[in-house]
Amino acid sequence: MKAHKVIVVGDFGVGKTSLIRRYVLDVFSDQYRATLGVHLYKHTDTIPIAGTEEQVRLVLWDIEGAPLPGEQMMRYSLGASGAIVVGDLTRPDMAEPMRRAADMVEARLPGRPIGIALNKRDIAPAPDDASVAALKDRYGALIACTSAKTGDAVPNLFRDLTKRILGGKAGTV
Amino acid sequence: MRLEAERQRLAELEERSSTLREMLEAQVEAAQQSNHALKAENSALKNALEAQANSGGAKAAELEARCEALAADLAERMAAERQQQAELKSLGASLRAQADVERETARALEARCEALAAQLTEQAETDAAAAEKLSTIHSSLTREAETAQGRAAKLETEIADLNGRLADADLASYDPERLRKFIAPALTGALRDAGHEHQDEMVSAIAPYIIGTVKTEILNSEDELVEAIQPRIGTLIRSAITQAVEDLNRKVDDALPVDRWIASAKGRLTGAPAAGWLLEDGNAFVVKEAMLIERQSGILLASERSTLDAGATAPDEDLMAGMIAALQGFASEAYGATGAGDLRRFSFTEDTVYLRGTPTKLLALRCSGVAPPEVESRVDDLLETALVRMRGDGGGDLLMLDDFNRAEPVDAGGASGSTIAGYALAAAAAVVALIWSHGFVNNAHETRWIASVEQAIAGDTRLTPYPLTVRRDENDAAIVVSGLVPDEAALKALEQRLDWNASPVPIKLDIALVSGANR
Repeated sequence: MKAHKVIVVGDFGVGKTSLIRRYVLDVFSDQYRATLGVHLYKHTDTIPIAGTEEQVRLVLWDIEGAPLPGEQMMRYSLGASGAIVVGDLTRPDMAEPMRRAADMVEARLPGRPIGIALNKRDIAPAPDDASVAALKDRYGALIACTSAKTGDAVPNLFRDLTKRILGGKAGTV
Repeated sequence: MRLEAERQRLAELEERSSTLREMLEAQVEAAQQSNHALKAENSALKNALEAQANSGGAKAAELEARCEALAADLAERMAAERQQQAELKSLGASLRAQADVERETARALEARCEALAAQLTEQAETDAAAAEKLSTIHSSLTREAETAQGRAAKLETEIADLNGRLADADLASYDPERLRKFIAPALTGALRDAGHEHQDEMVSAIAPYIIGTVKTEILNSEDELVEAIQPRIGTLIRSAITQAVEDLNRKVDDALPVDRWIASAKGRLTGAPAAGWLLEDGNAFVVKEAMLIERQSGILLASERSTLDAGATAPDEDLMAGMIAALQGFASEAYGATGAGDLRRFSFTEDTVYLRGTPTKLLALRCSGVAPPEVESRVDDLLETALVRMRGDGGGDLLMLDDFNRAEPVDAGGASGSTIAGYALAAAAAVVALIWSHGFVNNAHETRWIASVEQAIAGDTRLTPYPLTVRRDENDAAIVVSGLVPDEAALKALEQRLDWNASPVPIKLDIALVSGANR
């Protein structure tokens, strides 16, 4: 069973760790603990692809949200098979940090699939269709309005990204 | 006679008259009967009509009411029709007015069209005059162009003629592109002939460029090359120091306490690893786990866990691999990107993790116990072994850690129980071990032989710049020398330096000559 590295990036406090913990451990905590440096999680999942069930091992790199020096971010992202960019729906200025992170991923991991998580859907309204379409057009990404708290759309986002990594097709979650 | 005829005629008339009379009387009687029947019928009809007239009164009233309703509806419809007619009249008047306006506009447009047509006609007349002028100029220019083309063709022919003369006169001073085309067809044949007739000169002329190219390629692919030759370099170094280490081991063994011999004997007799006995007796050095990691991504490529560590709680190997890659990244970043900053060892709970790396891979060994002095060089060896095994079929264990742990010389940290029985047991175990390790001795001989072949290559300075490798072919059970040498003479010299008969396994040459032949 082949392992794939997936990096999870985004501004601080947007819920990167919570999303990963929801997917890997199916738990959620309201208490905020900042990630320093990088934290690694491993998860084995079964992905339906081309009519068969494929087992895949994911090593998820939960990367610190504070701006990192370019060299350090490069080291973290090297060799990743895909990335998830996380944004916080409650923040009025959500788009700009997400765009920065997604641009970084595109530059360092060209051709690798990107998933975009618009997180905290449980406490904020969904964005307008035009904003979602703009992100989708710009990055060709999978987009999901997620809630790490309720678990809405979280496993699907990771699984659809994995499908793309494995070469399958997946649409908007 | 005439009278007789008249009488006869009269009689006939009377007879006919009588017949007619009878017929008339019959008809009158029939008419009278018919008259009676008609009267009776008339009377019956009258009676029926009277009865009908009596029942039709009610119907007539109903019909009258319906007629009145229909009349009212008709009057209403007529009023609506009248109103619609009035509206239509009004609409008609409005349309007539609009039509008048349209007509007026059409008239104005017509007038403008006429004016424009007149203007265009005037312009066309002017343009026709200009076109005629242009046509005259065009004809004149065409004639001139034709004349110029004729001259150009003539000049081109003259130039081609001159070029041909120039090419014949002095090829070196000619256009390089033409020169290449001129020479190319003959060049291959010329090189082949030169290779046959002036082989040494050709080799000495071309070899520096080939070597220069190879060097450039080596510089461009430094990382891949380092990884590829690392086991070979290691083999060279190892072969040089193996002998010294063996001598040293022998001397140390003489002075060592008997604990290790006892453990080894226990291992042989019970089937349990000697390291297990030592682990039980003391704090032995054990490689618990080996991981080969992709340096950039931290993805685990292969791993192996010793049976000595089976059942113990161990960190998840995928997470550990990622963590090690990240740590190595920090170290490289902190100490520079030259590769000198690689982390070689760190402690993790009660274990020590030894690290070795190539530009693309990392080998991590999670060990416990007191490390022997030669641990660093043994870890170097293991990296080479892991890389070689990874390049193979990928099957089996990464490093065969249990064999390694069993073979690892371990200092248990002091003598104990040095008894006569112990010495005897140790001696017996040594004999068993000697027989058991016969295969390893053979392997050591082959390793030494590879080193001696490499020394034979290194002894000829002509071969120094050429890529030559020596490896053991497991399938053919042979030592294979492959690569490139400059010429036949160098190859013969190499063959003479190899002691074919002394080798424990056949030696095969897979060598290409720069001059083109293969051996």
